[in-house]
Amino acid sequence: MPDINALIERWRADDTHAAEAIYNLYRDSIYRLAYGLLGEPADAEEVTQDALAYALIHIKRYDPRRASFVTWLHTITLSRCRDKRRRRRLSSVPLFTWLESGDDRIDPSSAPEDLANRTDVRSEVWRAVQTLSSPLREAVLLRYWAGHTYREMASILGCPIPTAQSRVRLAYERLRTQLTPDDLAALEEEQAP
Amino acid sequence: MSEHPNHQQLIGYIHQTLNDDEREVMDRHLTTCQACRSQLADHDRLQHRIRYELMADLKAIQPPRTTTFDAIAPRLEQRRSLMLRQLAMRITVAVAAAAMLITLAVLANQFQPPATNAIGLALAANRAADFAALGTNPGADGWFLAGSAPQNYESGIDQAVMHDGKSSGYISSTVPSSEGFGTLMQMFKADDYRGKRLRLSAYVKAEHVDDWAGLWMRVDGPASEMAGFDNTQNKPIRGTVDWQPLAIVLDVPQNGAGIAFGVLLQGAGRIWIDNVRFEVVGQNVSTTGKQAEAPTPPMLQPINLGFEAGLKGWSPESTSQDYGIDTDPAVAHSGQAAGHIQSKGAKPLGAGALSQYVKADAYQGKPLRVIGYFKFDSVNATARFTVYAFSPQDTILRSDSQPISSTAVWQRHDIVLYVPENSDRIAYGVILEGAGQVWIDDVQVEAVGSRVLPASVDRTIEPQPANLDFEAGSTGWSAASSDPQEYVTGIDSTVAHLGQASGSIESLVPKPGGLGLLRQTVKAGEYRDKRVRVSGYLKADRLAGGASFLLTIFGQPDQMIYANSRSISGPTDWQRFEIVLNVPANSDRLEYGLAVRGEGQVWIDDVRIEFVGNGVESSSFETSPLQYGFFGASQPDNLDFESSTALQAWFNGGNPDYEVDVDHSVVHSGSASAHIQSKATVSAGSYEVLSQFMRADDYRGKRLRLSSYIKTDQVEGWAGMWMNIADSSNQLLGLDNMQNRPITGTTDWREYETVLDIPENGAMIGFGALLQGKGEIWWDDVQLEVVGADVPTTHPYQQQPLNLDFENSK
Repeated sequence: MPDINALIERWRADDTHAAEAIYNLYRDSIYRLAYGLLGEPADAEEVTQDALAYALIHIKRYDPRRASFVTWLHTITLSRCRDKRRRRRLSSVPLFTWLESGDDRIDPSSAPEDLANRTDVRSEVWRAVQTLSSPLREAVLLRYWAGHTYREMASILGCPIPTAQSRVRLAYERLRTQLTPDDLAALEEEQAP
Repeated sequence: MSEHPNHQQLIGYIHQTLNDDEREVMDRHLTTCQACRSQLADHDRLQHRIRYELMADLKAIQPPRTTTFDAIAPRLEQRRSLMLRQLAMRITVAVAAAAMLITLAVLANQFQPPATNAIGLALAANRAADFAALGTNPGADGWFLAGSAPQNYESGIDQAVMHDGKSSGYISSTVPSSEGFGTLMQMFKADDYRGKRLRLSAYVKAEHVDDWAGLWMRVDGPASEMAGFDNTQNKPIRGTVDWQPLAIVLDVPQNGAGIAFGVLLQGAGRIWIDNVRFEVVGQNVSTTGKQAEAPTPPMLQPINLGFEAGLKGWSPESTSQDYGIDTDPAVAHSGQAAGHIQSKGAKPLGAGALSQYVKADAYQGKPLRVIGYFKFDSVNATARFTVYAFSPQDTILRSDSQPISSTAVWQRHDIVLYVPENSDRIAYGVILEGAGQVWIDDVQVEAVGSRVLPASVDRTIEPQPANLDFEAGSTGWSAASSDPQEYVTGIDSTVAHLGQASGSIESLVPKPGGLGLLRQTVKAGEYRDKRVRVSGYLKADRLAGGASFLLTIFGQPDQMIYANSRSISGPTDWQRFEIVLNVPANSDRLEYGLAVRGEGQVWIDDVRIEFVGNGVESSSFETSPLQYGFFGASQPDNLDFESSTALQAWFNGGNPDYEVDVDHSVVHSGSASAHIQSKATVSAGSYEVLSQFMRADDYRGKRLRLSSYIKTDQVEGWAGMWMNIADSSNQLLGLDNMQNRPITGTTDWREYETVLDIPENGAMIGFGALLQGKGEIWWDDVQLEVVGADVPTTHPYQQQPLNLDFENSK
C-alpha cells in the first residue's frame, strides 16, 4: 500500500500521476460501498466518479487531523448516495418507466459485468441487508464491511455516536431475525436469561 | 453467580457499546456462566458471518469498465489554478460568464438581507476575487498588486531596467514555483471612454517565466458585471525575452462603469512592464476580446432537435476562431447527423457553443426538462450541457448545466430547470472549452410536472398558503442554494413532524460557504392590517452552522418592510418556532421558510399561518449575532462595541478559520473593541468579516462616510473596512472594500475611511471590517456620517489611469 499521505501531498503539488494513483487505490472500494448502499450499478458508478472527483478537486479541504482519508472519502460517498437516493425517490414515475424501457443510458460495454455482479451477489446476508432501511444499511456497511469505529461512523453519518451505535445494534437485530431460522430465534428469545 | 445479563446488554456487549462499568460486570459474569458464553458465541458467529458474507459479496463486485480515472480527469482541471480559470472563464462564451455572475445576483436577490451578509459578501468577494486577494502595495502610484496568489509575488519599481525613461514596474515571484498568478493592476472610471473603442498597449520583458505572462483588460458594466474582457494569453510571454509590445482592444459600452487592467505573471519568473498606454482607436481597428453578445432571435418552438436538417434553428457561437461548429454526418445518435463542435489547434482559445433559443411561452411557470445525447472526445477540455431561461431584458433568470464526461459512447443527460413566469425565452445546448470535440443529438424538450425541486427555483407567488405540511411534495415551495454543489433541497418522505413528508435542506460538502433556502411566497391580501402568527417546526441533524425559520414581508414595489427570524445553531429534534406580528397595511406579499448555513441537514414541516387576537404579543426581533435575525434596522447600532451584549447588532461570517470576539484589553476608546483573529491555519483565500446592515432610507441621495479606527497585528493577507449599497432586489450598487489600499502587517490604531454615494434606489447599506488570510485586526469607534460633496468618494475606481510610465515612485 503506497503512503496515501505522500500521494496526497504530491497531488496537492499538482502531480497528476498522484491523483491517478489515489483514484486507483480507492476506486473499487468506493464503488462497492456505493453499490452496497444503492444496489444499482449505474448509480454506483456515477457516485463513485463524483465522489472521487470531488475529493481530488477539493483535496485541500481534506484535513488529516480531523479524519482519516478513508473516512473523509466515505463521508463524501455517503452524502452522494443519499443525494442519489433522494433524487431517485423524488423522480417522477415517467422517467423511471422510460429508463426501464431499455434505454441505452447505461454504457452497453459494461453490461456483462453488471449482469455478473447482479447474479453473483446473492448471499443470504446480502439479501437481508437489502431489506434494511437506508440508515440501517448505511450502518451495517460502515461497521461490518468498512470496519469503521463508532466515532468515525458518527462523523460519516453526521449523527451523534450513540445514534451510530444504536443503528448498528438495531440493524444487527433485524439481520438476526432474518438470518436465524424463526423457531430458533423465538426459542432464543424465550430462553433469554 | 451474578444475575444474567438481559438481551439488550448482550447485544450491547458484542457491539462494544457498553460503558466500562457495564462491561466489567458482564466480563465477570461470563467467566462463570456457560449459558451466556454460549449465547455470546452464537452472536459472535452471526457477526462473523455478516462481516464475511458482506465482504465476499462486495469483493465480487467490480466497477464497470467505464469507471476510469480518465473519465474524471477533465473535471480535475478545475483544481488547476482555480483562480486563473476564473479569469479565463471570463473569456468563455459570454452566456456562460454571464450565467455565473447573474446566477449569483439572482440568488442574492432571493436571499434578502440575511444574504447581504453571506451572499452579498460572497458576491462582492467573488467580484473582488478577480484581483482582490491583495498583497503589498508596490510603491508605485496608482498600481497595486493582486491576483490569485499575491503572496507568492512582489512588485515595485525597477530603476535599473526600463524600456523608456528611468524606470519600469515589475512583478517577481518570491517562491520557486507558484500555482497561481500575480498581477500589477489599476482600476479607473470608464467615463472618458464610454462608447469608444479603447486600445491598451504596453511593453513587457520577461526573465525565466515558467508558465506565462501577459496583459489583461476588463470593462465593467454598471452593476460591476463584465461587459468585455481580453488577455494576451494567445500570445503568451514565456521564458526569457526582451521587451515585447502587447495590446488589447475592447469596446467600452455607453453604460460602462469602470475599466480594470494590468499585467499578470502566472507561475514563477520575473517580468517588467513599461510604457503602458491607453488610446481611443477607430472602428477600423478590430477588437481583440469578447464583448457581451447581442441576443439571438428565438424560435417559436423547438425544432430540428435531431440535427437532421443541418443547423436549422441552432445558433453556433464562439469566442474565438478556434472552434468549428456544424453538423457531423459521420456521427449520429440516431438518424443521419449530430450537432458537432470541434476545436482547432492544440490550444484553442475561449469556447465554442451550439445552442437553440426558443420562446418561453409554453414553459413559463413550469419545470422544463431537457434531455440530450452527448458524445465527447477530449483529454483535457471541458464540455457542458446547459439550459437557460432569459428575461425579456436578456438577463439570465435561471440556468443549470452538467459536465459531460469524455467517453466513446453516447451519454444521456437531463436537466430540469424551473422556467420563471417572466421568462422570455429559453436556451439549451452544449459548450466546449479546450481542445476536443463534442457531439449533441436527439434533444427532447418538455414541460414536466414533477415532485423534484429543481436545483434552483424562481420565486412564484401563491395566492394563499398551500401545502404547508409538504404532503403534496414541493407544490408551492421554491428552493435556492448559493451553490448547487453545496446544498440539496427537496422533500424528505422519510422524516416528518406529522404526516409523511417534510421539506429538507442538506449540505453536501464539508464547510459549505453559502446558504440553502426553502420558502413559500404568498400574497399579503387577507392578512393586511391583521395580527398574524406564522409558525413552523424545524428539526436539525449534525448542524454545524445555523438554521432559521424566516418571515419576510415585502411592500410594493419590492420594498422589504418587515423581516424576522427564529434561529437554531445545533442539532435539535422537532421544535416549534413562531413569529407574531401586525401585518403592515402596505404589505404586498409574505415570504416564510427555512434558511440553512454551514454543514448540516435541517427539516421544516407543518407551517401555519393564523390570525390571533391583540392579546398575543408581537414577537421581538431576533438580534443574535451569527444568525440572520437582524434585518432592516434603520440606524446603525453598537458602533463602539460597548454594548453589554457582546457584538450586539453585528454579524460575522462564521468562518471556522477565525475567531471573532470583543476585546477588553485592546481598545481605541471605551472598554471594548471588536477583534477578529485567525486560527493557526487558514485555508487559502479564507476571510472573515464583521458586518452590520441597515436600511438606506435616511441616506438616499446622500454621501455617506464610514470611518473607524483599526489596529492590526501580523496581517499576512489584508485587512480593511468595507461598505456596500444594494437596491431592493439586492443588486449591488456600490462597493468599497479598501482593496486598493489594504492594511497589511502590524499597524497601530489609525483612522480609516470609506466614502460612498448612496443612490436614490439604494435600499440596504452594509458595512464592516474584514480580515483575509492570517493575522489579527481590532476595530473600534465606527462612525457613519453624511458628508458634503467636498469629501471625495473612495470608490475603488480612480478617475484616470495613473503613472503609466512608472516614473512616479511613491
